[in-house]
Amino acid sequence: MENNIVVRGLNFSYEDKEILRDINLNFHKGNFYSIIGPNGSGKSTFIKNISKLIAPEHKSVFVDNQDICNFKNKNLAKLISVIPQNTLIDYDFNVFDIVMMGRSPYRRRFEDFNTEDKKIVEKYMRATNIWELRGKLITELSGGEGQRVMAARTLSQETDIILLDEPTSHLDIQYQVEFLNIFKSLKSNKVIIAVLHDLNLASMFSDEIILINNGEVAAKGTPWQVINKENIKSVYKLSVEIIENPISKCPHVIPIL
Amino acid sequence: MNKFINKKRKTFFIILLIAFGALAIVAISMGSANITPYNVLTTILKSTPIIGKYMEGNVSNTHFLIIFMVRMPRVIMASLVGMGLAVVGASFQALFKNPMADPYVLGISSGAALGAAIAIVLNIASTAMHLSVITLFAFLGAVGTTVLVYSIAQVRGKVLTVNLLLAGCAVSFFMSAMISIIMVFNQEEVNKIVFWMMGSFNASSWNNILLIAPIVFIGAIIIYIFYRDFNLMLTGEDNARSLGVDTERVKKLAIIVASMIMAVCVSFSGIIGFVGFIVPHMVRIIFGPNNKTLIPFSALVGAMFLLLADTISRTIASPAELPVGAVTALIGSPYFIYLLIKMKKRS
Repeated sequence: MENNIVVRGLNFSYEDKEILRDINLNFHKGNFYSIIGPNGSGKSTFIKNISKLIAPEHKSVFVDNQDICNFKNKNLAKLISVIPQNTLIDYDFNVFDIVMMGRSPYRRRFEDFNTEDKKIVEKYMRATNIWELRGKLITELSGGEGQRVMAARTLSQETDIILLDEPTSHLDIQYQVEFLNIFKSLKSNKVIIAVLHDLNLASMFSDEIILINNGEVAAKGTPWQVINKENIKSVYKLSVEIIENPISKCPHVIPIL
Repeated sequence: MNKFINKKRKTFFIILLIAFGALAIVAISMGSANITPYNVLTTILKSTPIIGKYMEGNVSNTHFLIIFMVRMPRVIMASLVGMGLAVVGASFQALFKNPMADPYVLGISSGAALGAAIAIVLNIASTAMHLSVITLFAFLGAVGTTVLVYSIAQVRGKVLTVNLLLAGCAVSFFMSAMISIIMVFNQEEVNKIVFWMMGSFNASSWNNILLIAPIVFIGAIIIYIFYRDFNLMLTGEDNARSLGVDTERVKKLAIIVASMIMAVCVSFSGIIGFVGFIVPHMVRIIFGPNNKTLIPFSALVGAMFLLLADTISRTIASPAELPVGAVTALIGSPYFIYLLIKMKKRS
């Protein structure tokens, strides 16, 4: 099977502080991956490293078998898209223009967006239920709507790899589910990697979960392999009970108070 | 109204361009010598190589001299500086993702002022290449300050915009302190320094224009080429980078180009506030934040705005001349407040 992202011995430090230590992971097409771990464990830094938002060390992250450091930003943007944490846009762009920004990696500096771009943008705006909002200003939207706009922008980028950095942490539960469903339904020919806070959401949506603690991979595997009493106890310092979710049959975490 | 304007952007731009031409002709006709806008138009047409042959009547020599040697350079100069300030303001507001940014946030004005103050105090009257030494020193001060601020803000090849703003602020205060000290020890020159800092176009000449025009125009075009990158950067640096923008390169380039524009503008005309801050805002309120529209419209509106302000400053209390920076603020702020209130009512 083709490995779309290979992480081999990735280390990362800010100044003298070690954030990530010797991370080795493979990500394959067709899967939804969740990265979980306590605050400050290095989840976001990991996402930034594998998307080159922060350049990693040479020869530690490979995308389609090439060192990520050798890609130009614009070419990389055709392979990997990212929804960063807390995107706050306080300029009055309308929704359509924001989604259209997803097409900019495909256009040269002075080239205008063409009808093909417009078709692609419309397709994904309809898929994310925001076509009716196209004329609205981004500053007028609710949190849930705004995050759907970001989803449409990312999908318009038409990349094989989509990275989501805590995309749902400030949304109400129905929007969290709706948002993650968008990506789950598209995963068949993509790699989706999401940093998630909510263990139960991670458990429900993921094919594979990676538990990071103190910059190292503490556990990886299917939800049942990762989400167990021992792992949660040792990483989160919290006693929990794990039951089977009656509908999805995946593990469900209940904290013991 | 907004939708209508947005659909007809090109038409609107041409209308504004014609309005600018008309404003320029009226501005040239204004002043103590009795010249009508019609005189201005015929004199200009008469003096144009091919069209001139088909024009009847004579052009008076004094009119010719006043129009071409005194007033026109000043009108062109004010327009060029207005254009430069507004384009730099628009690009800085995008670059710093901060609506409070203006062309002077990197301390370039105080650097230029310090250079000018030193030249004034040293009393070097000579000129080099048709440039006064004051202008030369101001230019060096402006460029030196930008280099200093940039190198302070740079950490391992990366420039954080917050660091740039803070470094600009700190250096700016330092330079202003130096100017105050220079003024205290050279009280007989205080007037000259203060007047230089308030900004004026009364020393405009064709030689100066030949130096400024290419830098302002080429600089504005380079900034315009990057309009899409600026749009993406307005949504946040991480977003811009994930959409393929090499943000560090864009920042570096924009700062170099903008500083060149600012250095020539400030060193020839002094510190004219407000234009670079308010014009991009006015344009943004009317046409929206897209830099594809914002940059060219800011350029044109900036030129018109400063031309209008300069014309008012030299005619309203004639023969005295008001500082043009005061006029820009006096006519600019009420209009800006009006736009803000209108916006507030709409939303």
